[in-house]
Parts: sequence; C-alpha cells; structure tokens
Amino acid sequence: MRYTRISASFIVLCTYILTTESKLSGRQDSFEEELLISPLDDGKLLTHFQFTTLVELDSSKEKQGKLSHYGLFPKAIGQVINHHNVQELHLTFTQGRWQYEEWGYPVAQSAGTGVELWAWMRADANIETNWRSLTNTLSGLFCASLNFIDDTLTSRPELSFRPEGSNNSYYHNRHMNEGVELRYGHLPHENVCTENLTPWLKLLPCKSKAGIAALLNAHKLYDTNYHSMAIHILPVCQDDACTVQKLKLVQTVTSVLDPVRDTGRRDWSLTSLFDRDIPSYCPVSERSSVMVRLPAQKESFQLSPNYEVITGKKQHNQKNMAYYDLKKATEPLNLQMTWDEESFLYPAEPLKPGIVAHKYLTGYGHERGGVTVNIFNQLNDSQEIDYFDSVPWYLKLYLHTLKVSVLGHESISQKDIVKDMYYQPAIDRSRPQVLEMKLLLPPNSVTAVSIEFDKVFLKYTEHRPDANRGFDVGPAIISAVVPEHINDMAANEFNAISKHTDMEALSQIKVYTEILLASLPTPDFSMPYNVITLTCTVIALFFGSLFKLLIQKFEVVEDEGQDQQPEKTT
Amino acid sequence: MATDGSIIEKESDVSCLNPYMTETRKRLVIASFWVVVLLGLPLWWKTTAVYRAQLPFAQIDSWVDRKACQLTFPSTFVVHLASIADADPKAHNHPLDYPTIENAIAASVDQQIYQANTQQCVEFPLNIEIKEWRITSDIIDLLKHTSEQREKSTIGRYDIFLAPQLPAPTSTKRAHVKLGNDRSMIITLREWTTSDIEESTAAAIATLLQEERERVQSIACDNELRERSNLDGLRTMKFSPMYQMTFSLMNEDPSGLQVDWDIEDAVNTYLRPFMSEVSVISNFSVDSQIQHFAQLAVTPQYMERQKLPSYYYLTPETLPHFINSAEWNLASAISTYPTINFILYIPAQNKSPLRIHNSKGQPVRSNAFLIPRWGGIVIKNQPKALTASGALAFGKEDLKPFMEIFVAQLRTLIGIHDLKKIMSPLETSHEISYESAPQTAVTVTELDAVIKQRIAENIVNSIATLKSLAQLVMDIPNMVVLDHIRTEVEISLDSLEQACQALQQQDYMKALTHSISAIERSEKAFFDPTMVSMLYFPDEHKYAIYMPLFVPVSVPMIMAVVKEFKEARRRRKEAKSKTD
Repeated sequence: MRYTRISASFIVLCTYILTTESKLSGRQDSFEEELLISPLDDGKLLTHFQFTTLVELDSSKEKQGKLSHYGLFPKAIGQVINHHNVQELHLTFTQGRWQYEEWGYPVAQSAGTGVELWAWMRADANIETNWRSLTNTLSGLFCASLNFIDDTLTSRPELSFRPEGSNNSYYHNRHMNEGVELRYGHLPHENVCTENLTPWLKLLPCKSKAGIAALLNAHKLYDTNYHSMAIHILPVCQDDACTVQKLKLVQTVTSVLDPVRDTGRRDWSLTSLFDRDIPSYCPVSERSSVMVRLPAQKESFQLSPNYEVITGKKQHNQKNMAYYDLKKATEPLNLQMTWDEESFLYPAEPLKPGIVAHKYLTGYGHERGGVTVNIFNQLNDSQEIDYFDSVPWYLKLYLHTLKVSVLGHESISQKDIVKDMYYQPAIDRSRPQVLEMKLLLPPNSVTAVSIEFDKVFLKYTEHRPDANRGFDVGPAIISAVVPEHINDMAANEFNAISKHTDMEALSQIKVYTEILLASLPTPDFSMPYNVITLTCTVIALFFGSLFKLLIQKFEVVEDEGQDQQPEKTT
Repeated sequence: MATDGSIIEKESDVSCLNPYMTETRKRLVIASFWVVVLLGLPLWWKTTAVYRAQLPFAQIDSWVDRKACQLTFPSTFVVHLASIADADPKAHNHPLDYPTIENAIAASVDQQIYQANTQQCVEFPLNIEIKEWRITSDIIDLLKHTSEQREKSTIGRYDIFLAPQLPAPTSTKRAHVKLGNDRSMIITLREWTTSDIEESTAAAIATLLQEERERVQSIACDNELRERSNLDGLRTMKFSPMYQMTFSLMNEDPSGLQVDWDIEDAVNTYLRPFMSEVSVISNFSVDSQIQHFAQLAVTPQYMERQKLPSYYYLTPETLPHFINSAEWNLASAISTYPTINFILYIPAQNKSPLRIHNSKGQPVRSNAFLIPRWGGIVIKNQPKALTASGALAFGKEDLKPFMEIFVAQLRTLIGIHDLKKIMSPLETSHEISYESAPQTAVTVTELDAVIKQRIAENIVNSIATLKSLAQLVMDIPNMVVLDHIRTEVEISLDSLEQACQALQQQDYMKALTHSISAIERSEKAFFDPTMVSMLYFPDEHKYAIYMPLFVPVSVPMIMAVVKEFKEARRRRKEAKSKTD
C-alpha cells in the first residue's frame, strides 16, 4: 500500500483552475460528482453520492437571472424554479429513520422520514398560487404525491429553515433577501421508490450511464436500512463581494447499507453493495472522485486498489480519507475493503452525538392526546437550539398546556429555557399549527417539551382510504449551530473538500425526530347507508300500519250472545 | 299522530252506524295521501336536482349545421392596366372595355378552380377591379414602391400590374410574371390583346388561389376522410396561440466527444426575424438544452461499400421510432402549450457516419427529417479530424446550415406552403420570376395563406368543441353546469359570429383575433374542472338509496288505489244489476 499525503487545499487549487474554462452556451457551468463511503460504528456502511452543478446567473440583464438555454444544468429544474419565482429549493425523499445515536449526524442535513419540501420564494401577489403550482409540478416531475402538500400542510417557519450554506447569496446580496418568503411542507406518509429515483437520475448530465451514478441500482439501493434522495437548489456567491452569483444544484443520495447482515463480516466491495462497479468517470464532470473514510487503526483493514490519503486540516479532529480520482483511473473501479476480524462484534457503547431528540405520543383514548419531545443535550456546555413543529389542524393543541422542563431539574423555570417563541394557531381545514421556540438547553440535560391536544372528529370524506391506520404527523425538527468537533461525522471533511472552502469552526446541524401515527376516531364508513336504510324501513313500517288503519273499514260482527266487538276485515 | 288516532276511533264508531260515510272518507284519505305524494315529487325533484345553466343549444346547433353564418373567404384583385398612351400603339386597335374584362377574368378563374368543388359550406367570392395605370419608367421599382405601402394593403387584396413587354420579347412563352414580396405581381405580356390580358391574369389568379382554396375548403367542410388523406393537415401543428420551441443538442457518447453550441446567438440571428413575422398568428418561447448519453431507441443498419467508405443508415420505417422520449428529457414540466422540438443529433463514433435513407434506399442529402406535429431532427456526424481536446463547439456560423433546415421544418410545422411550389403549375405557359426573398424566411403571400387556413381551422375546431360540449351536457343529466361555463360558451359563440362577419368584410386580421378568442373560450369551457365533479354519482345510486323507503311506502298506496277501483267497479255492476 502506498500512502501519499496531499493536502486538501492542493486539490482545491487544481479544481479551481479547471473550472475557469469558457463555454459557448453563454454561461459557465460545471459539474462535479463525489462519492463518500464511510464505515459506521455499528458495522453499517454509509454511502453518500453528491452531484453538484453550478451555473452562472446573469443578474445584470433584464432576464433577472432567468435561464432559457441550458447546458449541464437540467432544463426541467431550471424551468420549474424560473416559472415559480423560486430562489432556493430543497426537496428530500427519505425512507427509513436516521439513527442519530448510532450513526452520528448525516452528511445531508434533511433526514425526516417521508418527503420534505421547503422553498424560499419571491413574495409577490402570486406566491400562494406559485407554491401550489410548484408542489404540483414537482409532483409530476418526480412521480410523488407532493400535490398533497396543500394549505393544510404548508407552514411558514419564522425561526428554522434559514437559507443554507455560508456563501448563500441570501447572506451577502441585499437584493436576494428582500421580499422573499419561506414555505415548508412535509408528507410523512410517502413511500419512496424506483419511480422517484428514475426522474431524479435523468436530471444528471451523465444520467446513470457513466460516473459514480452508474452505481445507483434501484434493486440494491432500496434494500437498505436508510435511504434518502435529495435535490437542493441555492444561489451562491463566488466571491466575498458577491459580484458573481451562481445557481448551485446539489443532488444527493444517501443510503446506509448493512454488509454485516449477509455475512456477519464488515467486508464490502462495490459489486457486493451495488452489483456494479464504476465503469468510468462522467465525461462532462470537472471532478469525479470517490472517498473512503478510513478507520482509526491502520492495521485492522485492507482497502484496494491503491489510494491517496487526505487528512483533514483541523488538529482535534484528524480523520484520514482514501481518495480516488476517477479521471485518472484507466479501468473500471471496484473498491474492496476487508477487515482483519473473524466476525463483527457490535459495540456495546453507542455513539454520543451532541444533541438528539425523540418524540412520543402521550394521552389515551380517542379524544385527548398529547405529544412530548425529549431533547437530549450531551454537551458539556449549554446549547441554543431552534425547535420547530408543525402539527396538523385535526390535532387541536392547547397552548396553555405547553410545558418546557428539564428532567431532574425542576428548579429551572420555563423562562430560563424558552428564549423566544412563535406560535401559529390552526384554522380548520386550511392551515396547520406551527410551534417554534428558541431554547437554551442546559449542559448534560434532557429537556422535555410537552403539549396536549384534542383529536377532532373528522367528516367522513376527510378520512384517508386506509382510515383505520391513522394519520401520520411530521417530525419535530431541531436546528442548532454546534461546535465543529461535536459533529463527528465525515460530513465536515467531505464538505470541506467538496465545497472548496475552509472549514468553519461551527457547523450547522438539523435533528429530525420520529414521525408519529395519531389514530383519530374513525367512523364506520358504511354507516350513512345503514342509517338511510334503517330509517327508511322504520318510516315505511310506520307509514304502512298508519295507512292501513286509516283506510280500514271496521265492521261490527254480531256474535251470538256477545257484545259488539270491532273486528278487522279488509 | 294523536289526532289521527282519535279520528280512527271516531271513524270506527261512526262506521258501524253509517258505512256509506266511511267509503267517502276512505277515498278522501287515499286521495289526500296521493296528493301529498304528487305534490312532494316535484319538490323532491327540484331540491335534489343539480344546477345546470342553460346553454344556448339552438345556437350551437345552428353553427354545427353551418346555418348561423356563411363562411366566406373573399379576395380582391386590383388589376392595373397600363395606360394606352405610353404603350405600343399597334397593340391597341380599340379601347379596352373594363367591365367586360372584369367579368371575363372572374368567370375564367371560377371555371379553372371550381371544378371539383360542389360543397357549399364555404364561399370564395372574387372581386376584380380594373384600374388604369400610368406606366412608370422602371417596372421593377414598382414592387419596391408598393412594399413601402404595405401598411395600407390588407390580406386578401392583391395588386396585379399589367403591361406590355417593352423590350423585345425574349421568351416564347406568353407572358412574364414577376411576384413581389408582398401582395403584388407584375405581368408583362408579349401581345397586348384583350384575350391575352384576360387569360394571363385569370391563370395567375387561379394558380395563386387554387391550393389555398382547396386547403381552406377541406378544413372548413370538416370532411374527416379528406383531411386524413391530406398529408399537409397532419404535418401542421394544432393551432395554439403560443408554442414552446426547444432546441436540443443530443450527444450520444460524450466520452469521445464534448459538444457545445452557441444556440442563443444563432436563434437570435436566424430565427428571430421569422418568429416576429409569424407572431401575428402565434408566439414562440425558445429554450435549449444539451443532452449527453442520448442513446437511440433504434439500431441503425450497416451499409458496407467496396470502394467508398461504409456507413450506418436508418430506413424511413425506423424514423418514427427515432425519438427516445423516455430518456431524452424533452417534455416540459411547466406549460401546457404544445412544444416544437428541434434536435441536432450527434451519433457516437462507433455508429458514424449515420445517414438517413429515403424510400428508394438512397441517402438523404440533408440528413434531416421532420416528425409531423412534433418537430425536426438533423443528424450531424462527427468530423473525422477532431481537435486534440475531443471537443466540438458549434459557433453561430457553424450552426447556420442546421438553422436553415430547422427554419424550413418550422415553416412546414406551422403550415406555411412554399409560394414557388404553389406557382409552379403556371410555369408551363408563363415565365415566372420572384423578387429576392426577404430575410424573414416567409413572404407576405405565404403568411396570408396561413392566416386564412388558421381562421378556418379555429372556427371549425371551436364549433366542434362546442358541439362536443353540448353533447356531453345533454348526455350526462347529472352534470353540474355552472354559470361561468355558459358565459364562456356565449363569448365563444359571439366571437365566432364576429369572426364570420369580419371574414365577410374581408378583414382577415380581425377575423383571426376573434377566431382565436373563440377557440380559446370554447376549450376553456370544455376543459373546465367543474365539468367533471359530479360524474361519479349516477342516478342508479340515488335510487338504490331511496329504494328501502319508496318500495314499502308505495306498495300499500298502490294496492289501496287498485282495490278502491275494483270496489267501485263491483259496486257499479251491482247497482246496474239492481236497476235491471
């Protein structure tokens, strides 16, 4: 094995030279693809595919940054965001639940089960129409039920979901943060499968024909513990003064595979994981690389073929990465990693990420319920977080029952924890409740946020076809800016390399809780017909007898020696 | 109910005393129940009926039968005869009789065109006016002169300048016809005689109008069989006020070749003038994309040749399957306007050169083909000597030949017919020349023909849509028809009326505007989302739900009536027998 130590900055320099190549199609655009493979502590294997397309926006012209001639940037996406005046858009399809305790924080931030869509849009008179049209268009584009994100599921977070990325134009260009509004929608009960992946792949310049995207085999990709597919569009600044703006499209696929499940060993190769190898790099890409996060002990594993090693720059968090440049590869790449161990032993001690949260349903019966979110702060410092929860209108929250307390420290009053709060009450059948809070979590503590609600008796047409299953309620989302060393995942190093920027001392994280299943009182759906039938029968019986009585002739039958007695004859 | 009970009791008391009274009462009771039912039925009917706005069915029917308004496509020809004084005196033995010539030309034109036309669903009135014209020194300037006055001239009004051939005649043909870029032509006759004037003018007019009339007639008379056999009609895109035009550069294998093009500049240079000219009919939005790994859905065949280089080819039968629409990302996600696609396809190195064979098995020179109502495709093979970088970049100049093909294809797709082809029958007897073509790739005469065609098409289509709407509303009695549907239908009918009237006044631009409004309104009404909301609750379900009430209630009531009738008849018989 040959170890070559080159610094990340060198690669950054190389790629920067490559990107300054002029294009005829009017604008400079570039495409990069990266694959990160990282063994997780519990023997699972994280694979993270990231495809970045950058296109220059000419904001100077009357076009106002609108594109009509596309090169590497997908036309479908460009048209969608132009047509709906979208400035920034994040769409994530997730299946399964990210295990924060075992896996740390994900590379891709959005990780709530189901489909999540949030967008910063120009706040003109048509914004509501645009949002509705956007959900419908994306629904068609990705073969998903996004059109069900209607008014009753759409919220406007005030504290969470700020524009992403430190070089996002929002933070640098005054024009970009004037008159924009946020819309957020989440569909927890959405199954993600091949039909969503196929249109997603078609957006890539090389589709799945070349490059690392060739590995995206739907048969294998969905046979995993966790799978998340996302598309992020954001405007970014290319310099400090933000004179050059580009539109950045990031497409990611994250999946957590389990090699231990089949063999009991952690060994893997690309063919065993995906049934394929990487045939070549994508010819239009400017960078095409595979990175494998190396375990701390050098002796415990073998990785082939030979690789270069990159080391993260930060002292306290040195992690080695094996780096493969596909552009230099001459033959198809099939990575292979074997571990020097008989069989994998599961670690007894779980990873301790800084901030984790869990959400539970409380209460009993079909009338009253409640929800509790436990937020664990395992840091030694107090930590400020943004809490976001959007609850559908059919669970009627009672704000007076909202309790924020630190478990085991009843002396700490609610005022000390809740720094800021934003609550939007629901309107029946038109908007959800939104609860947002800025919380200051004490060090090494568990903070519980609990609130009670009433379950609404829905009209019978408002129930879903599988009414007895219950209604899915989206996750609570905690966003925080934590010290960088807490974020133990490969995300930081990965981002540092791929984004060409120096690592920041602080990193932004988002923690998604579980989604909940609330069962509402469910009617017997044949009831209306039963009622009609029964009522009709009763009325008919009553009418029949009454009518008969009215038209009947009563005659006196003379019986010998007896008194007169009315008797029925017809 | 309590009172009812007491009545019954009383009745039973009385009945034993006076049976005759109860008989009347019984009948009254039955009758009153029936009165309640009979009064209740209309009320029930009224309260459960869905709202249906009254559509003007009669008016729609009169349009369907073409009784509402006679479609006319008039044209006026102003024939300018050169004044005698300046011409060769020998040619004019007697002064020309203008009305006679007018009638003669009109009759001759009608005779030449109206051979096969027996259907009278559309009329083509022809006006011929003859004016005296003082010949100017340079005839050629005349066409330029009139083109400046283009604003004044209107669609359907043509100027024909007739003059004797001043220089000695060079050709054996009877006359020389020179067509201008706008609605004018100059005919120079070899012999300045009445019969020659009449014949040449009539021939020129007839040729100019022949095809246009045939097309308009085939559209307007709505003869489906005929339209199906009409290939032109199938090629032309369905009318829409807006089309999306997408240019796609398809690269089959980017690993060997990187492609790029300057399409924005090329479109602005070569296509923009044409689009602005055609914008009176439809507007266009233009976008472009580059697709890599665009693999063909068909496998080309291989042609091996002995001395010449071998090549791959596609036969005409495989061309309809050329488009790999599942993978080529051609659909637009944001708009419902029809898309016109233009594809520049670069096959992979291992499939080059790729050619297209015609039906005779010969390679097509342009290597391009048109997909009716869809778009056009040009195949560009990779040049043999590639640059070291393996890149192929099309600049504005490189794209010119392809853009020329695309423009030609676009002309076909929006229904423009080549003037030269139209005029070709005249070549047997006349010499024809054309004013140099304008940069816009479409002449005024050609555009006029398209406008007429589109007017006819829009009128016919909106009538057909209204007809289907009326039929749908009549067929489904449960369908809710809201007021705004009626409004749309009324506006559409009104627009039809106005379009038709504008046609009669030979105001084609006005007719076009109204016909567009008619088709848009009628389709808006037809595709309105409220028109399908109640389809899933048919009458049968309603009756099934009411059945448990209606049957048990109606049985005793009907039985009572039947019995009462029998009783009455029996009694009458008894009474009869008694009197006997």
